[in-house]
Amino acid sequence: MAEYSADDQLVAAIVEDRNDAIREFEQLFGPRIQAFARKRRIPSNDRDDVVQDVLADALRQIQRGRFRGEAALSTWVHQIMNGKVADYWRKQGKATVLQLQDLAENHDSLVTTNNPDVVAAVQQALGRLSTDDQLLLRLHEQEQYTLAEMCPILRVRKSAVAERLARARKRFRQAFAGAEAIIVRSD
Amino acid sequence: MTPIANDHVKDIHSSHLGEALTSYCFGSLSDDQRDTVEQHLMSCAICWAEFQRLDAAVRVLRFDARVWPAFSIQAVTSVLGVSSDLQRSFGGHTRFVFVIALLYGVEWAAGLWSELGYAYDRFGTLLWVLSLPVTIVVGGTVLLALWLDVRSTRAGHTTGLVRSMAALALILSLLTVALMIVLPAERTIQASFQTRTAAAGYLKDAELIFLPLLVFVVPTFDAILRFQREIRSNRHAQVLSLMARAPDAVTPRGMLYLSPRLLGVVLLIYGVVKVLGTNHMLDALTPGPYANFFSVAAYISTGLWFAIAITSLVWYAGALNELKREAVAYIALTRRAADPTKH
Repeated sequence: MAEYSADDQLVAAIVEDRNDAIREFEQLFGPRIQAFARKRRIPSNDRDDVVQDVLADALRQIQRGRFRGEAALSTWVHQIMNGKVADYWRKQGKATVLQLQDLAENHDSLVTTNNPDVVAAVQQALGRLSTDDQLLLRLHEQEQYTLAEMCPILRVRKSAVAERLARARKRFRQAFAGAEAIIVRSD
Repeated sequence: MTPIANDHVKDIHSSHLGEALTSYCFGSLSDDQRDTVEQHLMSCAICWAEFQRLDAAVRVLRFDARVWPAFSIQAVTSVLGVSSDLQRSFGGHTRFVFVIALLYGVEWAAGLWSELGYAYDRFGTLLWVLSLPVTIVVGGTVLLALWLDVRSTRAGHTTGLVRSMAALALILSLLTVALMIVLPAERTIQASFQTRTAAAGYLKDAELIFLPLLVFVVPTFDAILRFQREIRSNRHAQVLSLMARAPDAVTPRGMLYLSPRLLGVVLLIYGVVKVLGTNHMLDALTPGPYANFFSVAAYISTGLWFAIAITSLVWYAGALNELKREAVAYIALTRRAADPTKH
């Protein structure tokens, strides 16, 4: 891997239609675009198509000499992805009606990790948090309460809920990193 | 994760994403911030690896019910909602209690001004002498009655409402009797209809205007306290049933639950009668040197009446909503602990 150490080398190899360069390009950006598309709530059944569309369009443009190196290759690919995602939602229309089964398919619960180490680390991390942090995260992240809905329950202003939630998330990340390190070491 | 390290995806950056990555994984960034983070992730192998780990953890956190610890009632009620405030001063409703006590005290004093204001030239001194003590006694009585209710409810008794009503009835009756003795036994208002003596007029005000107003204050305050106690006793479902007027809902012993809608109807009917009565009285008033003074006092008294009723009703509806939210949140938080397989 990493045969092409700079943008211009990779681009030059793609222009020459070299398979290893195309493969490296896809391996480099494919997983990232996939993750970003998920973050932008593109349904899982359409996500692969969007990713392929972005990669194919980027490769086509590179081969036609449209990448001029004015920005980094990663930035340029990200812009293409932004355009494709916008196109996707435009085509879907503003009032897309999802079938129940589509909703279930798109629900992230069905694509959550099967990695027992992650589950164990999350469990440990939650155990290290205070009850306040646990309840905040539970209400917002799992029960899907909005900040506005949490205000009267916690009897604080929306800005205070947001601050407390941000702190709880930060502490969760720290606790998770610690728990993950212990689990990795014990493995 | 594919270990890639080249110029396209750098593994050494002068600065990494830090807390922005946490916000990105939890989806709390604006579009612009999200673009910035994604552009960084496109080219930073370290942050990308961290993103993959944290993103997986966030998804487990959100969608895997097994990872959540069970919450105790004490832990939840100490953090959530108004039920935990029962141990605080006036059950956590201090501001409401003092505002209502003040308004109610002033309302009784305003009643004096509407009885004697027309004859201010003769009874002005008496008015000034009586106003402050009446305000203090009535306001203090409200505080005492509501405090008795809080104390009784906290102790687990079911007689809080009765105690507070008894205290109010006793002290305010004594005050009314005392005022009837002090107030002049002569007609102080000149109108085209038959008017009463100041003492009799004040007794009528106390019976028909001031005391009925307490229906917006005392049972509502007691209901909120009782709901707080019920929630603290882990009877969330019963509280929700009662609020929803479910057929199988049972009102706790000694509690009078009046729905905000019912109180709204009472306020509307009684308010219309009050406004019509005040206007009728003022229309029939015989002109006099202090007629305007009397009119202003009557309008202030009517305004205070509405202020007390509306303040109580708004507070009551808000407190009920908070309790409902708390009960729903508690049930949601403890549901999966009881049945971890349910999702």
